[in-house]
Amino acid sequence: MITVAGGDSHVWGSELADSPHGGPAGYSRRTFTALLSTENYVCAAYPGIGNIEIAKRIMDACDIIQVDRFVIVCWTWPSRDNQIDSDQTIINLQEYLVQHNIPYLFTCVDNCIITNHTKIAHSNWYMFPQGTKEGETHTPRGFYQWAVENKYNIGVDGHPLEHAHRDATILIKEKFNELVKKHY
Amino acid sequence: MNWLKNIINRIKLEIAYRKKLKELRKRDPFIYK
Repeated sequence: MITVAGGDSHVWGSELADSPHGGPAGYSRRTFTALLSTENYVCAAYPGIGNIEIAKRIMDACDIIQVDRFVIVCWTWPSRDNQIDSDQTIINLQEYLVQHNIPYLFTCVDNCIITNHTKIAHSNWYMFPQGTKEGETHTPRGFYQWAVENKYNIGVDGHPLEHAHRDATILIKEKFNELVKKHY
Repeated sequence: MNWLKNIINRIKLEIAYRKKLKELRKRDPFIYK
């Protein structure tokens, strides 16, 4: 099984020690998406991109890789596409994956992407646990929010570092295994 | 006067949309500097 990961700099692994640059094959193998992958790993993410580009890169990768695939997407802030939500982009990718019989897991960097759109299959999502501090909302969090609230080490440019990715992997693992098992 | 009300409503909606977009941009620390 090949794990195909999509997202922005968080999935690329910017600021992680094994991600030397933003050029070809410069992505990290220590992100939570890579650590979840048990066999082959393909990173279709790229720093700074928006959700439309994330979805496009996943579809392009899946069109090229025709063998057994599992897709993990960590959606970014919808404002990067000058939109207040990314519902249609998410639905488009979801429909593409279902049509092509490709199992998938979605998560996000920030819970601002979550809406009540009925077409979005939330059973295929993993959301991070909410903060425990007084005054914090009980809404499940995105990866970036969760890492910042739990005071994981952050790089100079603001990206959660290796420790956050390792712990995120532990949290997501169960959902990942459940979806893999359901399909394969 | 319906046309005027329609225009006012559209302007109100556009302002609300832009306000929401501005708030969302502020949540993205990697783009919003």
